[in-house]
Amino acid sequence: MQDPRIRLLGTALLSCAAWISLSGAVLSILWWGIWGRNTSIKSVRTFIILLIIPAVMSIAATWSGGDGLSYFIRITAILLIASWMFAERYPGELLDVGVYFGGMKFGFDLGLIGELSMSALEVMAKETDRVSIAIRQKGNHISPRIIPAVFSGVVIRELQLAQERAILLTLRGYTSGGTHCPTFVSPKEDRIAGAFSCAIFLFSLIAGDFFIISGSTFIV
Amino acid sequence: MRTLKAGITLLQVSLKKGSFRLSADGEFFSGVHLLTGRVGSGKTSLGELLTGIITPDSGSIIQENCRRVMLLQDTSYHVSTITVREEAASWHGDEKRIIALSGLFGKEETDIFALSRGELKRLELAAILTGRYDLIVLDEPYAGLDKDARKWVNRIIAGCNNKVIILISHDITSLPPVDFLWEMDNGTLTCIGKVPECLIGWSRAPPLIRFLLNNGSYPKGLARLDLEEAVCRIHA
Repeated sequence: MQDPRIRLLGTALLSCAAWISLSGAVLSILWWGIWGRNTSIKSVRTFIILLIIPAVMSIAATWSGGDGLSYFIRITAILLIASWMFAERYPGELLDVGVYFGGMKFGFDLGLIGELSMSALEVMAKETDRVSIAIRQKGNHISPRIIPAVFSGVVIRELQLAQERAILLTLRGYTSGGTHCPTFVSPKEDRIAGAFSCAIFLFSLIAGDFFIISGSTFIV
Repeated sequence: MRTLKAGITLLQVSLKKGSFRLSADGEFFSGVHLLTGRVGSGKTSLGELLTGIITPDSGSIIQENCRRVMLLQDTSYHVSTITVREEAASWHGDEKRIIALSGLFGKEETDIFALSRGELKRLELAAILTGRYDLIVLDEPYAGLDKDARKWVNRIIAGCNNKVIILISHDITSLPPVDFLWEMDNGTLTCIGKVPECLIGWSRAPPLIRFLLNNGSYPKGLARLDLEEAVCRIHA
């Protein structure tokens, strides 16, 4: 998908749809199968590892009389949509979308924060990869005992990078807001996919009994 | 016990990273190899290929008696403990020797992140160079080190036997005795040859070497002392 506005909006709508109802989650997975297909999850093994905690939670929910399977499917749908959004992103798109929706002041700042956060995530992923290689070559392996030392290094380097970026922005005269003129390519296929994500969200609202107030929550 | 000599062979290895293409052929025997070249020529990528961190798109890398390999990356990547003593012990070598060599005697209980970058680098280099590694790739080992620390690194490298040590550096003014010279040029690896015989035919030699050769003073090697001696011969 080339248009980041539709992609971000679609991600938000489909994630909400998946969370609100089981049918919304199933339709979101179907949507991903038709228009998404891309994923930042590199292997089946990684996907299984990601699903371990939701699986444990859903087993616990089932044992305590809840609908664990429904929870598991919803989380799986949200993970798929999120991984698709991350895989499709390009540098600068959050700034583009932020300025488009929020203007040169608030939108610019919001977009800049988003861009810096995404880039920090990428750096952290790369650093984690490098650290695990270095630890393996030492003849050790990542264990709970060494995690505090290993990851405090990663965090320290992230903080140093953030400080360097802050200094750079200050030196360039940044205080708040900025000038940015985003351009978007919005092919027909993207608009159709966006329309379907809206439809899935609306359907999920109805199917998920969202408007029925039950106990302390709006979602049954 | 007889020690088997280590070696690594690259056969038509190629790697593509976007528009950049790396191709390499060659054999790295036991000894000290200098891999030099311009920034962005692919030296670090080759180091990662040699140590198995990345795999080539085509071709093969054959390791002979290289059971333990090590690539010196950013030194903080190697840290896996809290104190200097623990860090020295985590390399599975002679803990006391590592601390003594790195000049950190008396700082054993110091927080590892409280060390200066130079001190941390000395600790990691001491652990790597005294460790039981068959293939060691040192990517810019002199970065962040002062003159004395560079000499210290060179002394340890000179004492390593039966290992393949590949030095990736574009700074040729503070090297240990080097056995073989390699060059990366725009992604292509070229073996210049055995040092010092190959220096005459080194077409992209840095200014200092060109100056010495143009003045008829052929250095006996690429070690700092050899270069100093060659300079002195000109002025003698």
